[in-house]
Amino acid sequence: MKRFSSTMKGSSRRTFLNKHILALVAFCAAIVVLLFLVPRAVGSVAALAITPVLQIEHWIAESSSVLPSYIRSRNELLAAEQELRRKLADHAAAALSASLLAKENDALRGLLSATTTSRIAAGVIGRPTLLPYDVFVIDRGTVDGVRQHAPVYAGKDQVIGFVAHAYAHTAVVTLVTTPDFKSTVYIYGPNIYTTAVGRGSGSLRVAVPQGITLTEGDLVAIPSLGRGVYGKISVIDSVPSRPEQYGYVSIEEPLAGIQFVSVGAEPLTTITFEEAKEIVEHVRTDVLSVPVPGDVLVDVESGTSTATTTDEL
Amino acid sequence: MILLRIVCCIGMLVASILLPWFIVLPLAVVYVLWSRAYELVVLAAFIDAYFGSAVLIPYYTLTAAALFLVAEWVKPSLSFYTRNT
Repeated sequence: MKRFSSTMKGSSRRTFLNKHILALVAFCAAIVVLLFLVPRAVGSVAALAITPVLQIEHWIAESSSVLPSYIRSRNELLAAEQELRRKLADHAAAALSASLLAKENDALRGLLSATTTSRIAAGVIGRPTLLPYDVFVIDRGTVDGVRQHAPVYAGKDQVIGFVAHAYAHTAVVTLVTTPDFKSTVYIYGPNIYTTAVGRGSGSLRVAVPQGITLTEGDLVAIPSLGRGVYGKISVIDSVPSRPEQYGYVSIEEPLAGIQFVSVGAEPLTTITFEEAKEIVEHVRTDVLSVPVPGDVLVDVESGTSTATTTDEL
Repeated sequence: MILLRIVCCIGMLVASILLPWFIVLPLAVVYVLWSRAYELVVLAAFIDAYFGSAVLIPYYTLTAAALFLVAEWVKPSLSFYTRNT
């Protein structure tokens, strides 16, 4: 009887445990299903909890208000001040020539009837290695006009990624270098199209067969992200016994140093191969051409006109 | 107890956003052994939904769910739980 009772007790306990575990599995499965079915809704709710944390962290790390200044170490602030003074001196020297060039550029664009696309300036409040995923979080959202899939620029023409999700006051930017993120790139030098794979922390890897000559410094463009060179090949990993070689692409400014970005007003659209070729050609022209004054430049057109003039004489 | 859980939950949220995974993981293990941590799975889902929009696999949610389930399954076999019961 005792034996029977203990067996029953163990059995009912096991049944209870099984039911309990099944209920927990169902709960976890429900969460995962919810995440796949309505990611935007879950993300919007998450934004309510996560955005304040990111903003406070950014405020403590970079704000010049009294409290965060106290929190940060004095030495760090002094070093930052010195660095800023140095940068200020550099900028003051370059400011005049920059404004002159900007005016000249505007005038030339006006003459060419060129259109300029507007952009939204945004501060970076979260960046890789400090966040759970390899993404940027910026302090502008749909309220400020940021749209999903809009390109994000780190400089004038340096596209670093696109807006994956735009929330009311923040947006999450997927970087080209996000691990396992694939993009079609064009490498100047060997002049080939290939696929680049993100490696995280600002690094992009291209894999090409051994026969193709990769050189450090070869420029790399991502046509689908619009005009502009993405970066250059900084390291080549080539072992002759292996059928493939790898090139690691990096951008000029490290991701950790990017404080501000600009977001394109229009979202990216899928482009055809013909459009990609046109973009690549445009970039190549931009990269290799130098604005030489007309009276100094000697090209086919001026040669022809000289020859005609000679014939006439 | 509920207040303590809310505070710990907020602490886990802040830690998971600001600290590297190798610090967050042991904290999560302690958390799931300490209480029945439903909220940990929800927090992980929040992180995946917010930051991991471009990633196909919700790593944080799956890891948290696995931790949670394993902890709940193992708890009856752990001496300090059975002693209390």
